[in-house]
Amino acid sequence: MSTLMAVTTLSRVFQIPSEITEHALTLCHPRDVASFSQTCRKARGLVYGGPDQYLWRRLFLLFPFDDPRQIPPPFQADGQFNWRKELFRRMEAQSIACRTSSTLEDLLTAIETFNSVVCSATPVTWGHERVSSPNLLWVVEVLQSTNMLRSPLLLPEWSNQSLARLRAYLALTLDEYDDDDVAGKETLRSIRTRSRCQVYNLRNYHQGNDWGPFNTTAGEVNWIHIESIINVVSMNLSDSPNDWPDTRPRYGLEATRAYSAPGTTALATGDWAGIEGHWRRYVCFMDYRDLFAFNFGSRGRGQQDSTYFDTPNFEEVVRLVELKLTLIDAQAIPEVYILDRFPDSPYKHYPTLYFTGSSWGIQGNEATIVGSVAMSEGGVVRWRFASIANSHIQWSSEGVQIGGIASAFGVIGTWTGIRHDHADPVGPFWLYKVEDDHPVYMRALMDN
Amino acid sequence: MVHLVTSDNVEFVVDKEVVERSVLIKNMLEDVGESDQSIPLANVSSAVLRKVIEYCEHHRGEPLPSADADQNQDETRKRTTDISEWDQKFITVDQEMLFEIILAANYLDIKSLLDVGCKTVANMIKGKTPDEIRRLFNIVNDFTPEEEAQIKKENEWAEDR
Amino acid sequence: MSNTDTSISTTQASESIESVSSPGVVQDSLRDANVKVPTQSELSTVESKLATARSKKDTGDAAFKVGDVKSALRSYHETLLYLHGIDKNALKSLGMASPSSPSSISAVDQAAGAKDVTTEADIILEKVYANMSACHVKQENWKRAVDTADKALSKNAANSKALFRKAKALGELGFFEKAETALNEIKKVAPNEAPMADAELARQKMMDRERQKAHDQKMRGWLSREKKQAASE
Repeated sequence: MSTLMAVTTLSRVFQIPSEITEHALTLCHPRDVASFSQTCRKARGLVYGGPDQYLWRRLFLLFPFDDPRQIPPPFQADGQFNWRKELFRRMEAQSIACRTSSTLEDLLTAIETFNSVVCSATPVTWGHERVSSPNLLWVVEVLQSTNMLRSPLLLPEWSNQSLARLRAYLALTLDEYDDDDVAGKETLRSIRTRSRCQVYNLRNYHQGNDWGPFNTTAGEVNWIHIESIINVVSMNLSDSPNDWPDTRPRYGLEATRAYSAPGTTALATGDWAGIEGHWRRYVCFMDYRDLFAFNFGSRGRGQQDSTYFDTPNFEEVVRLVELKLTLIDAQAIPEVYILDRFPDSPYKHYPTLYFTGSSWGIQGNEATIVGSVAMSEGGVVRWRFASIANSHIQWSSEGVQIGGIASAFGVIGTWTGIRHDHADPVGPFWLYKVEDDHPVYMRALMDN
Repeated sequence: MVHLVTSDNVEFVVDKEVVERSVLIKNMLEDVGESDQSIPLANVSSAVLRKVIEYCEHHRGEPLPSADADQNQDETRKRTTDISEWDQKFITVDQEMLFEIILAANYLDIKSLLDVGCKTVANMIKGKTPDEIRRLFNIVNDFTPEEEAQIKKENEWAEDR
Repeated sequence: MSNTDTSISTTQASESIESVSSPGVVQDSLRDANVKVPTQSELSTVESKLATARSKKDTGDAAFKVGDVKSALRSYHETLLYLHGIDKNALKSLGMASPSSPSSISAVDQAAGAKDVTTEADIILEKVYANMSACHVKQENWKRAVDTADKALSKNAANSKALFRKAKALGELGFFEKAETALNEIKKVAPNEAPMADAELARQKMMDRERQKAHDQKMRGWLSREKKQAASE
């Protein structure tokens, strides 16, 4: 076909009403729309010059992604949602994940995008408990198909806050290896060592971070610590598949959605965090002597020598605790509870809640739990509680709900001695909500 | 039976049930009742109407999309350009006819046919470079070199690999 | 790919550019090569369609005046048949919309503005739909009255007659909140019609109360029935 011909022939695409062309474009992949916009001025005007964001909103929602307008008010993005900009950002992240030439900076940009996409998944709603979030499906699909997180630039020994946050949400779901995958096993081993070093290093716990998984900047979540706890607990659990096999926390991206915890899509008024009900808690710890040897050196080893965990007789303990919690008034907190109170919540629909309850541990030992849940800056739900036995407060715990309000993933945190003495042990825990008829082990021991 | 007259003055006599797939005509018949008076379709030629009637014949009796549910469902439906086998065969026509069918479906308000047309256009664009799309639709590149550079930058987000 | 038909019309198109533009504009028209420039014959077709539409509308108006609602509706529908699908670009070229010549606006601006351009066809459509809504109100066909009023409002959101008909029909269908919104809108766009809107609002509130009363009555009956059953068990 001659050039002259092309110049003089009018395209049929522009002879149909622009609404129809727009409708056809909404059925395309955004990348195809970008190509179309580069063909001529009129096409560009149609794609980028529209008076509203109709085309981009449709492209965004039909991609499909979760509708950001369905996220409850205080956590919604401020002002008008920029559909085009957000779609660009996500497509760019996908491109970065696909490319083999991406720099570390590119990768971190993409990781931040994935984190924000995870956080903008819509809450689970009543009657739609089994409907997956398109946002989360997309993140998993991109990460799985590109293997981006195994980029040589993102070494398993290395971490940063954004990367750790994404890894925490994923909770090793993308790190399942076959038994004969030597390299995979090695990766897991190195992740485990790094995580144990983080979790059992006593220097990571002090007044400045509330002896919990936080940074010294007030209340900011330390995702490296969170990720480490998840890794330590989940690898310990997978080491003992025969212990309480039907009692395992839900993890992975779907479990981060708000109200994905059992029975929380229709919460009683006043219990916004879904506190009331039955819970399970896995608590891990090192032998006391091991913990001190690792931290302060012994038998010719230096301090925090990571090879400490590689010795064959090294052992870490996992304990299951069963809990039943109920809400109480702030005034009803027993005097023995001496932990600091959370500051008032900046969100008036989410006032700080107080609870009490019973917990049943090994051999059916019963203790009383007292604590509170607060919505802190940026929509992070924080948990703080103490366990009381024989009218003595013994342990204090600090945790963060992973994902949205009442997520099935639950609360990840650390416990220490109430006085935070120099010689007090520390350890990680994973607390999560279960159905009322969930199998019991500990409580059953006591009842017998 | 309903009488239709096309822009080139050809008369068609069609079953009411068939022609009522057009919401435009359905509304009219509901408002004024059936009569021997023919309905002038000033914007559809006989060649195109023949195709449109073929489509309506095949899909006769299928439920029409309700006008109210329309908007909301559209927003959340997954993006799909799947076309049923019969429709695919039906819409395999030259580009001229494809766009005429789209125009007629829009004019007569036959949503499912408009959808088939738009999906076909979307499928034609799918995976093509700007240059390939220009050749496909006979689009003239009227950008200046400076504009072209700017546009390339504008679309960097979509670059793959 | 192109057949003979298109190449003929294209020749005509380039001729018509030459006849309307001064020499200095040639480059611009070349650069806007993808903007539709209608041929002379297309323009005359559009003109004749518009003329037919106008006369059909007049016939409809006359029928409505003498109370022949059915004939009025038929004529209005026929008006729609002529108006829908008229080439917007052609209308613009006929000087019915934008004051400046098309070649002086960039393609981007044109595409962006395309949706906002009001053409003569739009004005007739607005009136015809508003009149159709009046026909449906007269026939107490409330749902279609709302549909057609909405179509008129999509052309001009400040059409107070269409708003009133929509409000009335919504009220009859039981959508009082929506009706109230429409009536309040009238007060905004046409303050001198506020008394009429208020009167309708008052009428609908009455109607609403009556319905509520009837409903309560029914509920009471149902509740007492339940009680009786429980007692007999």
